[in-house]
Amino acid sequence: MSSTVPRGGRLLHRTLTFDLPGAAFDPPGAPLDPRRWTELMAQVRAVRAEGPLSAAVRAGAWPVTGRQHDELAHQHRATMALALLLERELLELDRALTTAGIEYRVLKGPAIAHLDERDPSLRAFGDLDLLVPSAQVPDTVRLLEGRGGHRRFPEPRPGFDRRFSKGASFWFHDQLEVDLHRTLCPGPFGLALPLDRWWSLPAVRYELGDREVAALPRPARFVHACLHAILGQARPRPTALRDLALTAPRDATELATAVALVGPEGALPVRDAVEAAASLLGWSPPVELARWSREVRGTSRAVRWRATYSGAHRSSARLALVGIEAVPGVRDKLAYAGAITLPRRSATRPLDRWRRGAAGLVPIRR
Amino acid sequence: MAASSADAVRLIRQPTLARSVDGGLLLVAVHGRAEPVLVADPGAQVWGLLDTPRTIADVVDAVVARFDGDPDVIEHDVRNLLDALRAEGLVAPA
Repeated sequence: MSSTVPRGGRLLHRTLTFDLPGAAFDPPGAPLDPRRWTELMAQVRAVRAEGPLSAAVRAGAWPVTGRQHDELAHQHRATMALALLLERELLELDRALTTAGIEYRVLKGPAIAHLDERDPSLRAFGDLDLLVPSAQVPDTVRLLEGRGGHRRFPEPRPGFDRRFSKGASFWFHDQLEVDLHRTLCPGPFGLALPLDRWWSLPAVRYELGDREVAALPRPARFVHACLHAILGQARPRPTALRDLALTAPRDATELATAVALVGPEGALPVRDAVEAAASLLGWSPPVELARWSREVRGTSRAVRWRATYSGAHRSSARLALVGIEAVPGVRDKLAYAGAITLPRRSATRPLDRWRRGAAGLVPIRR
Repeated sequence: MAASSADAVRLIRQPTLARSVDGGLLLVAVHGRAEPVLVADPGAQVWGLLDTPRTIADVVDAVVARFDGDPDVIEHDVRNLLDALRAEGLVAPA
């Protein structure tokens, strides 16, 4: 697994075990030399992992020089300031979505910070991620655009958002970003998730400012953290590994709920994520989760799909193409294939089209 | 320090989002467009006191009881802090 650890990653992973149940925290015995500290801070900034390191330093558990202390404190304050601004935006969105009758669940950092970390200052985040029911995606897109959101990529074909899309990203004038999700991960695994089961689970509500916002229950937060950790990019995402360890099923009931949410194919990436957290963070999963994880073999489809998410051949174009297999029904397959291969001309700017085309050519050229 | 009619006003925290950071509390008002501000540690304790309505004198008395120092200096600092918190929309009359 060491080949998947980015430069400086081992130290980064050690910082992420602070205050993490099931993991042994292993700080250095003395402040890092300037070169290693600079490498570590670059890693920390890249994945927004300031929280655990800052908490470890404040607790006197991670030795630093005065200069390192000040640099980290400044960086942590900056990330927490962004988190507060995003949470204020979340409150406004909650009002707007509730008024419009749109159900939502806040995902990832904002929910983990308040529901799973000992203190929300342990979890930084750089955007808001909201899951909405497929049928309400178009209304939510209109609502976000009506609030001044600029969509990063246009809808490839009418109806694509509601039927097939992972979601859409919106930038706002104040540089805040909101990611709208129809499903929980890109590509075939996202298309194959039994979303009706996710929406059948009651929301968990937590207090934020003067309101309560809606999040997924813990087993669903765990599954999403696993999918995000292992399928979100070619290498496991360090902060998502911590998230999955924090949200791991605590008993057989929670484990059964989590397993039901992934469907037959989704068990494989969840297993891989659990193994990555164990390997990279030195985390010991709860006994029942560890036993389940050992027994997962993965369907042949899941093994084939899984390969498209990792390594140098990963590309969004390739994920989209493999996703055809995950779309049920011939008519839907045709509609999906048409949308991803022949998007409306207005749906892609020339540069986007070139980029997508180039990305799709990579595996062919090799 | 001379008391004014404003001293009789009881202040209370407004809906706020907060984070504990090195050196104090980072706060931002839920309503409005103010930027987050850092309230250094002694000030964070004043902020903590305002979870129930208190007059300025109540707050000063509580702080004097907690910290060593010249009561006049403490009162001066508390008044400045409360003015700043009001300007940021973080506290308001109850």
